[in-house]
Amino acid sequence: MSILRRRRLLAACVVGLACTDGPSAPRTTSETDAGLWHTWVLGSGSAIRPAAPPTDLSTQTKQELDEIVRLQGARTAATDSLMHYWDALPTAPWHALTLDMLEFYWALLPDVRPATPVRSARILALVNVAMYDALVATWDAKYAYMRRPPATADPRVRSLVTVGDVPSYPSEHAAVAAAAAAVLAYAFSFDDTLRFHRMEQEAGEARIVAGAAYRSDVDAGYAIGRAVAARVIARANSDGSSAATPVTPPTASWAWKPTPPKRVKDPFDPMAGTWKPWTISSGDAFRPEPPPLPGSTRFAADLNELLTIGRTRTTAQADTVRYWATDAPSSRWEVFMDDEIARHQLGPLHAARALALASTTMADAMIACWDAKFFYWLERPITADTSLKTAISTPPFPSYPSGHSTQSAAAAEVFAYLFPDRADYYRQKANEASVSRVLAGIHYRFDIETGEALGRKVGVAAVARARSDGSP
Amino acid sequence: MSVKRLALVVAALAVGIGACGGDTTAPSNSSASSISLSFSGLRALDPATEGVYEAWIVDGAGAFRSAGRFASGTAATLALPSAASNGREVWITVEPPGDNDATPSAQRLLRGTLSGNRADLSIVGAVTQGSLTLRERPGQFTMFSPSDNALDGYPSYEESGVWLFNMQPRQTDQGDMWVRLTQLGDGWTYEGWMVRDIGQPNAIWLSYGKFRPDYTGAVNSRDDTGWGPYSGVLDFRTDGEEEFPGDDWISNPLGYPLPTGLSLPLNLRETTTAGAPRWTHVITIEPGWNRGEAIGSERPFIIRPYQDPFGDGGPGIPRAITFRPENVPTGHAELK
Repeated sequence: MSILRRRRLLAACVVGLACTDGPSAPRTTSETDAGLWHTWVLGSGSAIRPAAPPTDLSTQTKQELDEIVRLQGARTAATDSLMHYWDALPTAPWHALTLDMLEFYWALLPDVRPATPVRSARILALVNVAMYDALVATWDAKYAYMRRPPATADPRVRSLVTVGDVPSYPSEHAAVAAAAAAVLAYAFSFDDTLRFHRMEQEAGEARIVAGAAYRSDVDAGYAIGRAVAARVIARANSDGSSAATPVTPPTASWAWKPTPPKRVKDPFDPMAGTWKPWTISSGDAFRPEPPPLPGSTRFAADLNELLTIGRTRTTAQADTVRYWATDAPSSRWEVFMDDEIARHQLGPLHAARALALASTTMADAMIACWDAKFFYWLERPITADTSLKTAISTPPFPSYPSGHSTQSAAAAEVFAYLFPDRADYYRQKANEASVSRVLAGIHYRFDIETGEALGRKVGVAAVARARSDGSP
Repeated sequence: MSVKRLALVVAALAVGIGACGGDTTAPSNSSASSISLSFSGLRALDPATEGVYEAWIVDGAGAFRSAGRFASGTAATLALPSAASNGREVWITVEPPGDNDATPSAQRLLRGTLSGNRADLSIVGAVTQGSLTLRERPGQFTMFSPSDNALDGYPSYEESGVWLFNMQPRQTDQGDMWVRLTQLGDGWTYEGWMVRDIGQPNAIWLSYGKFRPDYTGAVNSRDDTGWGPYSGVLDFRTDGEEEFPGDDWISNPLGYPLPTGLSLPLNLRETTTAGAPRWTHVITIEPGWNRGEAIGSERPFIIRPYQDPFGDGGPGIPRAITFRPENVPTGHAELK
């Protein structure tokens, strides 16, 4: 088994998917009108509709059925393992892989920076949007052409996975695979990108041998995925994230300065507040009021709170701090989303919509937060009082407002909308994430309160868009 | 409650207590004249570099009385001190080389409470703090080499370093990046190693440094050698300020001694001609006096609770730290 594949399977196991042999199959829901749902980078689901598939009686269809029969006759344990692995929500393996990649690069900060908090959120949004738009386009074509899956069209073909009643052309697994692989190869161009494309090929081949898709279904899916990925990458190339504008912190006594222990001089992503958001109009759309400054009563009180916590921090508090400091906050929420997708047994379109909605919201929240961080440039508590005992290292960017607070509050609004039965739970989770930064000693309480308010505004804007995106 | 019922309850409690077999209040046999000790997981120490074992009888007031020193790692019989008649506990310490005083060192190795004439000895409360046992699932170690990332980016020499943190936090009990280890007594410290050909006569033990968990059990600070003497970083002890123990073995600009047979950058995925991994990750527990050993001359002590073959996984692959209870010393004491 390749290293990447081991990492993938490992990651898939921990995102809440059943993992005896591979992720469990989702409940099949037809989501027949999903081709009409609003897309993020495509003009509509029908914008890249492929040509009609070969007819049932065509020579090509007959040859493709013969191929499936031949492949099924030559199955091995390895084939079956792959087939079973890909008998899951088409987004699940790719989402797990993305989280896995980000988790890995999170550990390389601050020297290697593809997975800073803002960039992690951006990458997740790009991948999830690509997968969602690819699925919407696929569903448009599926119900335009209504091709029966091979396992239901030819008695010689066995249905080796859950086929359901969804038309097979184009293959949704192939579409998602091509979209995700291309976007991951873009986002991690310095990594072994061939691995992504090998995985893409695995996905398509697994669906063919399973009797779930014709080769022409898979080829059409790949074409849709690549077309969507090209649009996503084009957007990414113009979202402002590659601009390397030098910044100089203000020289005021209260201004941000490098923090111990690493004293990183170049803060993470100082221009991220200018990046192109997904839903809100701009990074400064909800810019908060200025923070209290040293010399004010509020600043003194909040700094004093941190000094007290530093002297009295319990093991349970330290564990909460560490939980939320492990991975970018967006990654934590993405795992929660996987849990909810499994808990609610969402179909592929609803799952992809939820992933895209949450991740674009969190990306916007970080853009809004970073706008304020680098507009106000407030120093971190550890440089305001060097006697402060923090539980973890202070990250290298300004304090006000808190990124964890902003992003978690925004995410909680989306979760509350998608899963109203768990609204309170996720708002409490957001509060826990937020407070963890005060318990860590790396944020003032006013940082997290402002972050929560800012995040809620971003979340409300995202939910407003979602309410009119055409989904039921 | 009636008087009769109360009497029954008291009687039942008395029977229950007596049946526990762990009566910690009973003093030792006042007629005993010697103590017989047997151990597993110990070996004879080198007195010049590792010190000697010493047995102690501890009375109810906490006073330590030496029963004598011994070198064997398997068994010893010692004469009891005359004042040991009210002994409650047996302790075994490691006395540092050159330590000739009559007080126990901080290296308290084994401890047991006498029940009648016998005591089972373990490291709990001796090597470890309080009643803590060694953690069975501490977390993960991983391979890559961050000390040159600022210069060379990633990937560069990623097969040349080992670091103690959870690359896949979701696989761990703690769910975060930090390995958790049991807090040790003042006289002990953890040390991390990469060992080539472990168990062979020509095994090479490369230390990546000594470290201790914080008050929560989290291993959240660098070891005593920072990035390590072979990271290529001149000020390797203080540069980087990592939050995790670990070292890189990339280059040797300061000219430290490198064991014969090794060349840099190290390939920790090296295999034998038969394809078996040559490198093993080990965490030992070392006497605190070992701090400051000359680089290149570090040797492991006898407590080696965590050991895992490094394997062929690539950079960033999580590798679980496995508890090896057979590598942790235990013992029995009997007064005769």
